Amino acid sequence: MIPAWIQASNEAEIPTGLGVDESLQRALELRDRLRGTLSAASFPVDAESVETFHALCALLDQPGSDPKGRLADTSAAFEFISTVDWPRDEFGGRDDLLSRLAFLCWRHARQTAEPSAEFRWAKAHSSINRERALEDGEMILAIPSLQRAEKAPQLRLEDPERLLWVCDLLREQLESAPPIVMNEAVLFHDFIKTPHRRIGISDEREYYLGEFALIAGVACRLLSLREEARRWFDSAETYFVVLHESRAHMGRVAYQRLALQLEERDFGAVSHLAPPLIGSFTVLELPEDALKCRFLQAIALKETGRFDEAKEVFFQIASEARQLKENRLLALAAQNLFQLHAFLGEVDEAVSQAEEASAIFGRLDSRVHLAKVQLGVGYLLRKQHRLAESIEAFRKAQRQFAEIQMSADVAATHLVVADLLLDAGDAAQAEREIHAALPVIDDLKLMPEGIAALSLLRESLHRRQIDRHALRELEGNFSKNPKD
Amino acid sequence: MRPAKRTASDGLPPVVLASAEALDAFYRDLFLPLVWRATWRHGLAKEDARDVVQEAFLLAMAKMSGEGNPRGWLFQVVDNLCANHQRKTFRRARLAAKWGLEGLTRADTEEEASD
Repeated sequence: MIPAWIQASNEAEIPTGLGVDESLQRALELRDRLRGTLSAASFPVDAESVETFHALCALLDQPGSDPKGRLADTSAAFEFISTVDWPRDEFGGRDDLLSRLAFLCWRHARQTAEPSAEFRWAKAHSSINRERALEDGEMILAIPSLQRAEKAPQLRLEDPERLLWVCDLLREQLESAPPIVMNEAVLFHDFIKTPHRRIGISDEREYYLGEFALIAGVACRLLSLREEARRWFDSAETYFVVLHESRAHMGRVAYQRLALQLEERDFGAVSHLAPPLIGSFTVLELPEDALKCRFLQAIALKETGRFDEAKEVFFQIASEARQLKENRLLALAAQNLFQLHAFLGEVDEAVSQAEEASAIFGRLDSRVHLAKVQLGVGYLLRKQHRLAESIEAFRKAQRQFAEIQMSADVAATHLVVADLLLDAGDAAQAEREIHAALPVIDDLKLMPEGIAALSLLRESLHRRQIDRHALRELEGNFSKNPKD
Repeated sequence: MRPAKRTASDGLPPVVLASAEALDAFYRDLFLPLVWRATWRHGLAKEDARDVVQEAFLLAMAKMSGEGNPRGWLFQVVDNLCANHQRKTFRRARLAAKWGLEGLTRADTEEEASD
């Protein structure tokens, strides 16, 4: 069709719609009518009104001193355009308009000290035009890092709306490809930081620096690079703390620190710090974040042997997650309920929860958690003394961990399999499993009791008489929890 | 509000002939939205926006493969062309300010455009 258009429009005067002044005048009138009771049902959508919507969008993007008023105007425009009867296949780009308006709502909400509005609009922005946004994001990530900075103007890497999409994409891939996300988040962080780039308006530069630092930290945490994770969380805090509205973002960093403490098996700290953080998120009207903290609390209960209390909290979390349509948390609750039922020997309930969790993780492409459910299935079979099937299940989980380069989990699974092989009377293969795990364990920072168990295990290997107690101690030190 | 279109009676080669309805649909569904994007998102004057969109179509004829999302490709190209246009305008204004000129000469402008 393009060649036909070029031929037809050659040397012809092509109308380009309303004049700019006329459009802006109409946009102002529309903005004022939207403050009243303008009905979307009777509003005609034609080329002129669509151009007016675009002009309104540009108008609402202008700086001003009343963020609440601008948020009200912009969200009214969003609601109106999303409900107006838009002719099919005409004036393509309603999604573009809505996506832009959602972004502007997010931008204004950030200035209104209403974190719940900020997060709600970020979520809305992420769900509109999703396919194109992901395509754009993937296109950017596909360009080798060295060339990316050179092409920054063409790729519009300084466009704050585009950066919001990149953050979405990286968060989405955190659990399926943590090493890639870590590298990308660090690259984007450094790109914004040096040389000093102007990003968006107001404190958006600091927001993105903090956000990329936080994403890098979470990726490091998932990769068990705990010291690096801490450094990135520190970095995220230094940027978030200067934001106009920093409470929710500081809370998100605090949540990540708590998750890190849980992974280090500091259950006392989790039990102590989770309640005030839950309280903070509740005050900020961020129920999903409060629920995530309760989740850490429930895991601490589980890990300290308070199984009945843990089960009750996980059931509550599952129920609330269903209401909030938080599928990820629902799957995580199911995964933990599976582990609890399995531990308590309630096989039927365990299997049912494992199936629910696997189905949701599969849909979410959450490979980390799929591997962890598989790991749980291994433990369940082990408890039932089905050694061969159990080893098979652990090996499958190990392959899944290896695919996503989670080396600490690969090493931990080697230790579990070694223990099972000893049960099966295959000491030689068990030694090989332990030898395979040792280089990774050496690279990781262990707690003091872990170091003691490690040296005992090493000595026993020299004697060709594996110390089962040290092996299990080390295994316990490694065993991690389902986490965000 | 319709484009001044040529039709079959204008003697165009048959290979690119399209019905008035098809051209009208193209105008409404692609040309105008791209002009709106260049105008309202990137702040170009209407005439510049029209030129940028036409340039994007010419690029599409030369470079666009049949794969992927052609519409997304066109929006992307228009965004890039707008960014280039703004850079050139900014540079021209900076040079004009530097040399104390109200506007650069035609020769300067053409030199800029060829960068």
